[in-house]
Amino acid sequence: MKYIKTVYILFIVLLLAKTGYAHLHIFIHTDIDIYYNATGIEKLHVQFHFDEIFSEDLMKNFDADKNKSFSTKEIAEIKSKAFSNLKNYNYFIHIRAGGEKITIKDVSNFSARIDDGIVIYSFDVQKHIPVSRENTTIKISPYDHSYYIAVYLNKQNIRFHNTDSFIHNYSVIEDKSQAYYYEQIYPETIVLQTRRKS
Amino acid sequence: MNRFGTILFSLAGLLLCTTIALAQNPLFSNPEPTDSTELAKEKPQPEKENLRDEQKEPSGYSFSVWNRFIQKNTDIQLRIRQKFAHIVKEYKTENNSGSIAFIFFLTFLYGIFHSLGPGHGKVFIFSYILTEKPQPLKAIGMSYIFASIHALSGLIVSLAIIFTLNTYSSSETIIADSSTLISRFSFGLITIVGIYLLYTHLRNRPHQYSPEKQKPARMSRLIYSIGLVPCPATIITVTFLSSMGLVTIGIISVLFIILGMGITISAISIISLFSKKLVLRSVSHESKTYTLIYTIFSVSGAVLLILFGTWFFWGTFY
Repeated sequence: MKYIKTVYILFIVLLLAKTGYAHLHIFIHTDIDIYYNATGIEKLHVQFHFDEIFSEDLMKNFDADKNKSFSTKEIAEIKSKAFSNLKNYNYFIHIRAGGEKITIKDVSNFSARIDDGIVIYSFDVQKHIPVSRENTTIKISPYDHSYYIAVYLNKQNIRFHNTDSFIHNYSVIEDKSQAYYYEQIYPETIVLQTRRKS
Repeated sequence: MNRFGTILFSLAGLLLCTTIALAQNPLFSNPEPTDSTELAKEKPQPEKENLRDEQKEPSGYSFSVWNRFIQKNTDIQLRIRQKFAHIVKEYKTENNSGSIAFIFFLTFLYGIFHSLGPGHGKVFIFSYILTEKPQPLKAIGMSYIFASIHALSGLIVSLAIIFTLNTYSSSETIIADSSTLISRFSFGLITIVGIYLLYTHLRNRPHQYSPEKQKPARMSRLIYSIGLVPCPATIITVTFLSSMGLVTIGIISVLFIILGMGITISAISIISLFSKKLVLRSVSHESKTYTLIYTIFSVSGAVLLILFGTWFFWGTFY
């Protein structure tokens, strides 16, 4: 009985100790479009849908004319002040091809829009991943390793384009091998199995 | 405030000054590139092996339960925030007074679930209870005083944001700045308090240890001082409501956040208190085992403060 009590105490200690410090304050839902070209995966088109409360904050700060739409100038300001720093966070898009991590240093075609009170960022990750006749496993995980932002994957908005020359199938898992934030969080991960048609 | 407290605050002030320029929000801040996954870089493995690993259950069952808990809490907070934003906008357009009660109810729930997550002084309260021996009512009272100070300091920051910042300076940036400061301030202080407690208990070691004869500790004051760091959840709630033109409702909603946050922190206090009593009750008050267990609790509380304080303090730089 004493042992049970001791274990119980230890459990409580660990539980409390694990609560760490960082808070999540922002929520993002991510759409991912995967584009193939003749030789493999050409790019990912990513859309971040912010939660309404943070969207309001972004609109307050960047929709200078309060017309519920971002102009080209306003988008440039967003990119400069509230997006470009994500290069230090791999743009929240973590890709592994054949077990190797792919670092994202730059993205293109950034844009921002307001849709029904929600701010949506969109951008392209131009990373060519060759796909041969051998089966290739590619993992795509949207997450913020600092856990300041909870990044969800919109499972119904994972789309594939130009796949005529390729076979692909995928599943979405909680990837324990990429546990982050003191190993406490398992990111939602697209596990894509793909190969070129014979 | 005794001399020790003064020194402590001086050190904390120093920490604040040296970290004031740093921010935390990934969208706005500019930290050194770090990635925990890179730090623990996996060795390339055959693809099939990797896939097999993903299907495995995690090695520790409790860890999996904890992961589920964190994820569930995140989902609940998301749903509360979505509902909150929806109701606030509905109130703005339809001016339905019934919505106000719902807004307060949601801020109350947000207080409960947000404080279930990391931070909010739970480790402090827990360590204090492990080290000292407060009555249940005092533990609850401490929890509510802590929650009140934490949320009200958040309210002060919110009002400063609302009434002074008109140019680009997102409230999220302020929150991010505050978060880094909060983290370093708190963890620096945790470590120092831990060292102080450990020193106190080790100094008493040669004497016959009698918990009942201990001088009433004044560490609770230090715990309250940790609450001075502003609550980001309060800042988010109040600045959002103010951006909707509902400053007064925002101020009142802080009371409901305090109520909710207090419930969570009190629950942690009471669980800790009764867990400790449960173990101590199993041995005679007069026995050496009782003294030994009590000493272990006291010392381990202090050691926990030092270890986690140092760990998390270090973590804020990476």
